[in-house]
Amino acid sequence: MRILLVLTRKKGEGLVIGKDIVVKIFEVSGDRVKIGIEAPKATKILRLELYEDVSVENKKAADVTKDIIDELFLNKKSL
Amino acid sequence: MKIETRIGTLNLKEEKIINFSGGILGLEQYKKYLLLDHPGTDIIKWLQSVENPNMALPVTNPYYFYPHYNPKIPQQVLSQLDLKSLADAVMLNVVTVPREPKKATINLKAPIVINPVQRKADQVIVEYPEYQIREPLNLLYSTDNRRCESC
Repeated sequence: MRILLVLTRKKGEGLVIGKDIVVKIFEVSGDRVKIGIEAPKATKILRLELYEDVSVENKKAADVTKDIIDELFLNKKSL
Repeated sequence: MKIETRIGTLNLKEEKIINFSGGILGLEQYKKYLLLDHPGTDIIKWLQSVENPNMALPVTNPYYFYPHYNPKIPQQVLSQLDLKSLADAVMLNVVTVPREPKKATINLKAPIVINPVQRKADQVIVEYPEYQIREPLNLLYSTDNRRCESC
């Protein structure tokens, strides 16, 4: 099960996630927040919109059929 | 053991399995893949999930289409895959074909980097230089036609 925790932090404050991830708020200006994340090197940290965009593209690619690839690449040989 | 794949029933050879310990983005539940040649063409291969027969992604060698492709792969990604340098890696990029096949695209933003010896792989998002998730797949570049155009 997953939970969504919403809380308010000020500049200079932070959060601890699990046993080895620390998130700090470095700067707040207007609608932008500068965040520092301290995590083990192997932790994958991605911008959410980029993660979502690549995820959607991967899922679309998984819908490509063998026939479509045949149509696109095998016909080329006869050119 | 026989398994179903996008290109038919195959004999699964365990030693051919490529392990994605973090999974492919958005499809993290699948960790084990085979790399299969699409019959009749050298251009397209399938990253076929061993765990789900319906889960297969068409991939290609990006240099067929973008000979100057040069993404900066972070050192920590290489070391996680036990690669000394990018030269030891195999790079493949996911191909998406919409309803109109001529509008096929290649994801240059998120290459799949494989250690072919240890059979470990990961999908990496590259920041530099700037590449797009949907770059046109110019089919002309992938055929022998290119050579003829210059004769």
